[in-house]
Amino acid sequence: MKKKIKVKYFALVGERRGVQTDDYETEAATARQLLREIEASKVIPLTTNISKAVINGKYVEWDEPIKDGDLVTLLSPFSGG
Amino acid sequence: MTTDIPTPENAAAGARYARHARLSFIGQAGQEKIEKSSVLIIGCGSLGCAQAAFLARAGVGRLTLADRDTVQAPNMATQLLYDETDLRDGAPKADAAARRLRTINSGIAIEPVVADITAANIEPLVAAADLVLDATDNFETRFLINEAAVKAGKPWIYGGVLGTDGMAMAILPGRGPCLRCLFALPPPEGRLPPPDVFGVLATAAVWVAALQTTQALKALACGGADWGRMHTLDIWNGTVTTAEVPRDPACPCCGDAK
Repeated sequence: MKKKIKVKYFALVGERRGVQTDDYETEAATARQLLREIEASKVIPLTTNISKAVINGKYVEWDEPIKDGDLVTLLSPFSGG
Repeated sequence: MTTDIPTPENAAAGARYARHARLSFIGQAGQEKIEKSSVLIIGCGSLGCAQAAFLARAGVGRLTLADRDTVQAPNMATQLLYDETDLRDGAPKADAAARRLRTINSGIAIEPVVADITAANIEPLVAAADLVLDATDNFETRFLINEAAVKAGKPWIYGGVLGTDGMAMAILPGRGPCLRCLFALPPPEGRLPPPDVFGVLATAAVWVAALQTTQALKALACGGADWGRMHTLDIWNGTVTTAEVPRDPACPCCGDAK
């Protein structure tokens, strides 16, 4: 059964600027699987080597489980100064 | 705290800082701590210019500004301390920023360091400061700051900006995560687009710098800040998202094995 979650991105996703929050249905069990699933349908410049996942306000490892109702934020560090 | 800071010659110093001193969570005692403090700002770009202006006006007793670059045309839209004379002269940013800051507050010590910050020179700079503000434009230097700050046990405030977004987190070694608890290794060169490719909105940089500076003032005046909480800002939509960063006991920089 698919889980209903929200996925938030910061910058660098396609030509988007700023925050984008999407309602999303997924069968992904972990944040890593979610990233792979999203990558299959859109170009996002995020990788598990550089980027981070935040679930419900806490930075987590990529193998953290995804649950129904979670807010998952995917982001890369900002380098500019 | 540093003790060899010149006493402000401005006889109206008390009035000058009254707005801050009247804040209940700073107070006169907190303001006096700020005036006895020494802050190192690494980078004099869009973040560093705003941080330095805020801290000079707040009366931080000693500001050290480090940057290797000179003022260039694309800097003028986002780097608030420079004028067209600096641009025409190709002035070193640290020198130009120090000159401008002395016209803002002549009662504080301002030391420009025109140099590339490397492993060879960062430790004495960090050791001489009570706190370090990150205003660099690359993760290699941020990892140097993190290493030196953890070694010296000094607080530092990470900040980065891109487009209309930015991030900031206060780091106190031993009290919370360090930068490498979150990012074990620096992103490979070229993997993160720089502002000269992706663009940056000046107001986003100032917002990030304002949050970093606020954390710095909290640490200096009150002894505390939001250690280990990453604030991610989107000024285009006016949103702030905050997330807890856990300390990694296996961190290669601050972990238990070190």
